[in-house]
Amino acid sequence: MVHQFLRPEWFMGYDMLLEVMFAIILLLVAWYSFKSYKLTNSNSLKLFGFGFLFMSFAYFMLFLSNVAGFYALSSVDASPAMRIMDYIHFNLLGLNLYILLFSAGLMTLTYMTLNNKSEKLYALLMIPMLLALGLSANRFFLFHLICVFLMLIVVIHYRSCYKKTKKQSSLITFVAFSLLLFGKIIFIFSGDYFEFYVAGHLIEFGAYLLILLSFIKVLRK
Amino acid sequence: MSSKRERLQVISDILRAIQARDGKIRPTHILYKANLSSQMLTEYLTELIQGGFVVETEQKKSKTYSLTDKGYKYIAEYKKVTEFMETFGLN
Repeated sequence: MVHQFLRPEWFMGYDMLLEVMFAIILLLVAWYSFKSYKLTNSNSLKLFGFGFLFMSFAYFMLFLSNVAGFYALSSVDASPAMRIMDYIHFNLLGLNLYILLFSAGLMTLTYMTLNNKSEKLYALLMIPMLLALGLSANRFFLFHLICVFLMLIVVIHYRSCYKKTKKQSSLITFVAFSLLLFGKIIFIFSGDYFEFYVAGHLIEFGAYLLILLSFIKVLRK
Repeated sequence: MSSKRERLQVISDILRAIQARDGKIRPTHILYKANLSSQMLTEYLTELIQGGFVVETEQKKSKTYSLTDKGYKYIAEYKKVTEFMETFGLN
């Protein structure tokens, strides 16, 4: 059973818009990673690309899930009950796919920070996590807990990168991932308070804007 | 046998060595800058000439190598990728 988000009615639509924006930003960065991978054959570029690609698909799924949820709510009076149930099922399916894809993406990103080429280790990290998420009774809570833990490892990696380079671009990336971590902590409480759902989205918006800014700065050089 | 990653790094080093000399260089300078054996350098230069990144000109019995537009573009793209990797903490 997936624990649903609580969201204020006025925010419905804005959240979907933000999710599409996040998906597009992640997709752009993933595309450039794969393009760069062709030039350098660097394993970290490939992993980074896959990590961002999974996370991008996750946001597209969340968007579609929310669209289904929106239709389910707006057709309560007009549609037959069976139709509404279809929307609800699609909404839950989208949410489950979001959880699995986002965790897979974040795990890939975390694995990239380990600078390890062992496929066994990757499988050892990925499979138990996906199994736990798939079988958990409280999937939503576990998902956000795993995300916080993985994001923490990613943030520590970017902190050490910034310490090494002392460059503004590394600092922006470090701040962006720190915001994503903060956003994921906030999202843990979004099942009980809708203010956290809005705050989580806005914090993530700031984070993805910073990632986009870093990306544009690289392309313009 | 060097990995593909190392090979691309060597190619980038050769092209940048040529660029550093205003786009024209003698093979001995490339040897020094890219830290390669003469046999390896010949192999790399042949590949770069065939790929259209470098052109060879012969003047008074000595050969010089210069960058083509494609060579300059490769350096610019490689620089961007390096910057991208540094920005996003990729090794």
